[in-house]
Amino acid sequence: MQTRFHGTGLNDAVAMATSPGTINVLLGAGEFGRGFYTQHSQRRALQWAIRVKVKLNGSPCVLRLDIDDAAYARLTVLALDVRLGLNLTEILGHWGVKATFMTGCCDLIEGPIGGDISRIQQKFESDDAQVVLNGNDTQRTVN
Amino acid sequence: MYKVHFLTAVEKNGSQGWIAPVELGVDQPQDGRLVIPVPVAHSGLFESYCLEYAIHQGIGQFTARSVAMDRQKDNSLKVTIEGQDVVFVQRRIDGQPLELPYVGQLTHGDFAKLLCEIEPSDPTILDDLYDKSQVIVAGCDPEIEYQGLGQLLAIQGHQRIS
Repeated sequence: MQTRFHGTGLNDAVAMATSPGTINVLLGAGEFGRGFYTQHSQRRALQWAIRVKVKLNGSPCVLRLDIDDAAYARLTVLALDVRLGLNLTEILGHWGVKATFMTGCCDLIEGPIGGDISRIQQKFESDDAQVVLNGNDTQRTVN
Repeated sequence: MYKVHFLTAVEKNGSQGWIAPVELGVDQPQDGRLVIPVPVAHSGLFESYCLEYAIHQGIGQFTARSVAMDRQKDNSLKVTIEGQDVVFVQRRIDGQPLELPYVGQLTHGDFAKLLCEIEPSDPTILDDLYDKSQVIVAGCDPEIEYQGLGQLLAIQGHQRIS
């Protein structure tokens, strides 16, 4: 299983965790552009959610995603190192397109948060990725 | 007492600084760092800091607690969280502590000082603390400790993060 965590509010987490799920890769955005963002650390996802709780739809929590290995392996991953990750973020910021940019050539981008290789984030951006996240290949749990 | 804060490093007007995650737009990283005020640049730390943490007690349920974190002779900071000793040190990049000003729009007494990032000397200890005691070191609560949040959220149009 590939386990990932998304910090969010309880009402949104419950909605996303239904079967089928309602994760929408077009709604989120971040350092690597438009997409649904996750990270490896539940603690860090919760830490962030606690400190932005006034902006969340419900109490801070995490949506835990346990993705079937075979389904995850079928997704095309663009892996960024520190330099490429920072470069992409800088370019998107310069052009003001963080809220809209998608590569169109991969299902997800994986790279460091803020250039810190010890903190890795994933951005799921494609229709195929959304199908995996919302389907039976992924167990969605609210923690 | 000075506080431990949870802030995000951003670039503003060509220079780096700290800002509270709650101030950031929805296209920013889900990330922050633990930072503390320092007397003046590269001069060491204050004697003591208040560290706030939450205990995760179930889905969406947390209990807030705080504890004093004291400077040691070697300029590290020692704190006991739920029976577990944790030592924090200044995070250094190229040998220098990461000391930046606060550049956001909120108000707190500590924000007049330079703010230095700290990290546990044992990189796995905060994960261990969460696994064992469901502790999340989260720094200051902006809703309680920072002034100007209501006004900022009104300006932002109550952007919701999902």
